[in-house]
Amino acid sequence: MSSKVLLHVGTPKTGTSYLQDALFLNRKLLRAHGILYPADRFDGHFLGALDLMRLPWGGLETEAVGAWDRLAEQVRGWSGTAIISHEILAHASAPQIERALASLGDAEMHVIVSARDLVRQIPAEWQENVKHRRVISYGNFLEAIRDPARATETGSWFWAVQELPDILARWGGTLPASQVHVITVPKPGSPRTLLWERFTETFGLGGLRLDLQDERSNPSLGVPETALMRRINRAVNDVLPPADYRPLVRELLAHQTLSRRTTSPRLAVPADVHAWASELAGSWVTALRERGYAVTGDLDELLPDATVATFVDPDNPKEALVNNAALDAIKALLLENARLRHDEERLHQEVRDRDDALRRAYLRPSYRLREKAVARLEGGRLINAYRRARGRSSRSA
Amino acid sequence: MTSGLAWGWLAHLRAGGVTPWLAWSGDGEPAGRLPGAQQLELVRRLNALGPADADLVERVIAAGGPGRGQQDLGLIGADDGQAFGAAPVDPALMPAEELVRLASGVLADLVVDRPGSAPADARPKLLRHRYLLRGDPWLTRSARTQLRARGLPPGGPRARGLVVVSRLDDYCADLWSALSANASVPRWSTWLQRLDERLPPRVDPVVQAAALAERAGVRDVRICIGLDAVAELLDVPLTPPVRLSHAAVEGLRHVRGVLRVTVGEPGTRALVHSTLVPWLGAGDDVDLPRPATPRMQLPWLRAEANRWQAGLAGYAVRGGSLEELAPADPLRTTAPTDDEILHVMLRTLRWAAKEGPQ
Repeated sequence: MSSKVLLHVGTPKTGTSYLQDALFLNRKLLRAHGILYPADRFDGHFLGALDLMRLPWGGLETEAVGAWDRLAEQVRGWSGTAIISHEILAHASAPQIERALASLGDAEMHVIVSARDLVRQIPAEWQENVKHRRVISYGNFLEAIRDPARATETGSWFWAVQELPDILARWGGTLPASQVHVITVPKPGSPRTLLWERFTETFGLGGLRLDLQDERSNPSLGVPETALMRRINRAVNDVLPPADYRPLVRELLAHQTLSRRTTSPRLAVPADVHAWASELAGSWVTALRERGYAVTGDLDELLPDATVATFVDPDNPKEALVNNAALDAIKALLLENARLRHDEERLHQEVRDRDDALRRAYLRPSYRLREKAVARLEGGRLINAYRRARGRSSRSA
Repeated sequence: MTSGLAWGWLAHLRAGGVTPWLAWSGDGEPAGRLPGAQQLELVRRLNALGPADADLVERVIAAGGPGRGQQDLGLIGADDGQAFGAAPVDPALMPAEELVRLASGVLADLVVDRPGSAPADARPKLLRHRYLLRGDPWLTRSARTQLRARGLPPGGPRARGLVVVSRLDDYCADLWSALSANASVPRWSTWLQRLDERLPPRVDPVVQAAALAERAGVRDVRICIGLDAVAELLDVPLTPPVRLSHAAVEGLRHVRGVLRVTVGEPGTRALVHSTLVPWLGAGDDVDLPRPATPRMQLPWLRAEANRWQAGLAGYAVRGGSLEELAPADPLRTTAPTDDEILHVMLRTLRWAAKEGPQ
C-alpha cells in the first residue's frame, strides 16, 4: 500500500499538461526514487477521471471502462509515494470523491490544486470550450457563468472546475488543512521556470534530474483564431466524427497552426466582468487563507491585476484578421493533404513493388515445379501428408 | 453545521415519506454526508408512486450523477455552512433533466448488477420451417430471439423469405428505437430529417424483398404485415415485443450513455437488449405516445408508402393489405418533456427494484 498519495485534481489551464508530461516521461526515474506515476499512456489519468465521473467525452469514454479501478489498484500496490494528476477531476461530485478516496486505501492522502487568477481563467475556459467543438458565443458564455443558478451545462462545468474554495472543500473536506495544497500560478512576467519549481516543491520532485525536453503544451489562441475555430465548429460538427475532429481541428488547426499566430489580439474579459471576477477572487483568497491550506507560491497571485486589459470582442472580430487566420488554416490543411497524398502514393508503390516481387516468385521454375506437384497430389490423400511435412495448414500459397 | 431539519427530512424520505422540503418540519441526527437536493428529491418522487424499495432508496442516496450536470446542490433554508458552490435550491423546483441524469446512473447500475438473461437458443429442430427474416428491425429482432429459443433458427435450404413491414410511421419509430438500442444516434426529429426522405437500403423492404427474391436457395418471398403473419406462416406462436413510448426511448438513450462508460460498447449492447429494454417496457406508461412523425415529414412518408405499395405488389402479402402502410396523422408531434422521461424512469426504477431479477 502507498505510504502517501498526491492527488492533483485541478484546475485546467494551470500548466497541468506540462506537469503530466514530465511525470509520464520520467516515470521510470521516479519509480527508482520511490515515486509511482501509474500510467501506460500520457492520458492514463484522464481515462481514470472519465471512468470515475462516468463522463462521456466524444467516444473516448469507452476506452475508460474500469480505468479508475485499475489506477487505484496500482496505487494500493505501491509502497512509496503515488501521484495521480488530472485537472478534470475537479469536476467530481461528493459521492464520486468518496468512492475515489476510499479506493486509494489508507495512505496519507494529499489533495493538490494548482490555481490561476480568475480573470485569466475565464477566457481560457471559453477557448477550451471552443476547442472541444462547442459553438457558444463569448457573450453567452459570460452570461452563463454569471448566472447564480449555474443551471446551464456551461455554467455548471465552469464552476465545478474553477471555483477554488468549493473544489478544495469537496476534495479536501475530510483532510487536515496541512494535507490540502494550493499551488499558485505566477503572474505574467515571472521567470518561466517558477511554476515548475513550485510543482517540484509540492510534489517532492526536488533534486531529481528529470527530462523536461518533450513538452505537450496546450497553447492558447488569439481573438480572431478562436472566432474562426467557433465558425469551423458550426460548419463541421454535424459531419466530422470526434475521432477525426481531434487530430484535424484541435491538433492540426488549433494547436499546430492557429496558436502560432501570436501577434493577434489576446482574449480578455470586459471591464464589468473584470470587476465582478476580481471581487469574487478576493472572497476566494480570504476563504483559502482562513482555511489554512498549505500554499506553494502566494495566494495574492490569485487576485487579478487591477489594470483592465484591452478587451477585443471575439463575437465581433475584425473580419480581415479572421480571414488571415482562415488562410493559414487552409494552408495547413493543404500541406497536410499533400503529405497524406504522398504517403498514399508511397504506400501504393510499396503494394505494386510487392505484387511484382510475388509475381516474379511465381515465375521461378522451382515454384512452378512445386505447383505442378501439388496439383497432382490434390486428387489423392498424399496432399495431407505433404502439408504436414511442410508444416502449414493453409490450402494454397 | 448542516441543519437538523435536513437530516430529519432524509429520515422521513427513507421511511417512504413524500412531504416536500419546504413543508417539512422535524429534526434528525446527522450521520455522515448529507446527500444533495437531487438525490433527496428523486427519493421523494419515487415515494410519491408508493413507498420505494429500501435498497433502491439507498442506491439513490449514495449515487453521484453521471456525466455533465450540476454538483450536488444544497437545500434552501438548510444552513450547511457552505459559502461557495451553487446556490441552494427548493428541490421541488429541481429541473427534471437533473433528476433524469441521476436516475439514469442508478438505473444503469441496477442493470449492471442485476442483468436479465436473453432466452437461450434451443437445439435446432430437424423438421422445421426454413425462413429468412428481413424488415422492421424492432419486430424481427424479437421474432428471431423467440424462434431460436424454440429451436427454429433462420436460414437453411429452400428458406422462405419473410419481410416484416408495419405502417410507415410505426416502421420509422421502430427503426429509430432499434438504432437507439444499438448505438448512439441523434434525437428522433434530427434522425428523421437526416434520412433525407429515403430509408437506408438495408432496412428498405422493397430492396430487401428484391434481394431475397434473387438470393439462391430462397423458395419464395412473403410480405408480413406484423408478427402475427410470421407466426401463422411458420406455424408457431410469437409474442409481439413491447413498443416503447418516445419518452421511454429517450430514457433508454440516457441509460445507454451511462452504460457505455460503465461496461463498454459490447457489454452495453447485450445489457440493453437482455435487461434495459424489457425493464423500460415494464415501466413504460401506455398513455405516452410513440415517436410521432412531424407534419412536415408526412409528405415524403406518404410518398414512401406509395413506393412500398408499388414495389411490394408482386409478392404475396399476409396479415393485411399494403394499403394499410400509409402513415397516420399524428395526434401529437412534440418531443417528450423531461418530466415525461422522468416519469418513465421512476416507474422503471421501481419496477426493476421490485420485480427485476434480484
